[in-house]
Amino acid sequence: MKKLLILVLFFSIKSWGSAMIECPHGMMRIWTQTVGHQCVPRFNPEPQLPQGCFGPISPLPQNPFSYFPYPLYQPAYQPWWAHQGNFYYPNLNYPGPWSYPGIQQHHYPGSGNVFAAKPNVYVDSIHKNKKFNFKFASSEKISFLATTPFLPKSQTWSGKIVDKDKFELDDTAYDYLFYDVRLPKEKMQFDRGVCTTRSEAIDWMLKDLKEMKYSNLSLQDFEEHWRVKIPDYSYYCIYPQYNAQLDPALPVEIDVDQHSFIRTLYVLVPHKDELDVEKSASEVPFPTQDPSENRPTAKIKREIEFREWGVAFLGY
Amino acid sequence: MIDALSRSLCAKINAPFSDIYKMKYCLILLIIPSILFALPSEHFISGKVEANKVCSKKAMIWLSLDKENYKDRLLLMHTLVPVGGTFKFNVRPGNYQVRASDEAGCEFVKKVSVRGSDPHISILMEKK
Repeated sequence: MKKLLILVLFFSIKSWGSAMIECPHGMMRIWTQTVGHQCVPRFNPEPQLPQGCFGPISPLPQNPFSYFPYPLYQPAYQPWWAHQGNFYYPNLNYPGPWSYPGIQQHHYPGSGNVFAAKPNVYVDSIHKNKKFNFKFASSEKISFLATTPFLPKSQTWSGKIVDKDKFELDDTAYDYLFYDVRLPKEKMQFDRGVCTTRSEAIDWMLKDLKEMKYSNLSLQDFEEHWRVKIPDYSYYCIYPQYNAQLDPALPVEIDVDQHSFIRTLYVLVPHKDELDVEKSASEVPFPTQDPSENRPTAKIKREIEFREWGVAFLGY
Repeated sequence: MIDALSRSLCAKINAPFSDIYKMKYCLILLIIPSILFALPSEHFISGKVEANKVCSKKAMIWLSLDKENYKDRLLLMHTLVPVGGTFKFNVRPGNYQVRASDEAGCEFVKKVSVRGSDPHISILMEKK
């Protein structure tokens, strides 16, 4: 009986061992219910010990974990809201309901083919406390999609600037004033801009904002939001709209003395394939001129400086 | 007056109604679509955010289509609102979900039907 038990144990260990496959270097063993064990490539390569004449050299590592295998998957940094948003919504990594190359506009009210998502207005003041009115003064109907704080019928945010860089409305402090709006495409410019990869496009916009002396907080907000919300296409053409385009398209009146208002809205047009003028199916032409010539200057310092950034996509 | 209006309108479109009572129904059928057409196709959902002490000082407010299926629950807009703050989403008539979430794990969700009025939501963030 004992011999039988030993035999059963021996064969069960052997069969289990034979099912466990050894994977070559650069591969890792995984197990699934349908396929069983198999070798798949590692996402991150294993560190190789340096080879000497008689095999691997084992120097005393300064860090005891330096040869510990890397994690299989290292996600890029994502803000807390992106994790939650992905959990609930299938299109979190898009600026809205999406159909290449733009936003599905039938989901939204109003008119205008340029969907300006998240223009954020920041303030930088030398005064600790200062009353302000920020009024959208267009004579035409404005197609807002969202606002924070609530924008009343007067289309005016009234409150005070507190702590030099915050807005206070109804006893609540806001880091920025926020609105989503639809703008007419014919009032935007599509001659000046740059085309590049997605990652370079984000870097280019950040650099452009830095040139106009946007605050660190506003730059951080920009990067955090748009690294998540710009869809993952290979290439983008950026058509920057500055005060020259935005002031006529969406006039704003701010009744505070000694102020300036620098406005920037980047209209992004994605391209799935490499940028080729002849093969491009986009209805928007490739930009041909340098956008920086239109960039507002931030050389003259004012007592109160308002700056807004936004990113827009075309609606279809 | 109504009788005359019914006769003239329904006769113009050759409605197959012989008596005046049926013609009045015809009038109603003509008027209802006109009223619906005249109603604004644009509404808004507004709200204010409040929170328990355990919650964060800011909440992300999400607006999506009101769908059970994840794939259909398209996110339309979202905005980060400080506690005590207010917001406004301009929307077409329809059914929506307003969800709020924050870094501390507090949540709020409400289904909103936007038809003739502009709903206001008091969002109370709570730890689930």
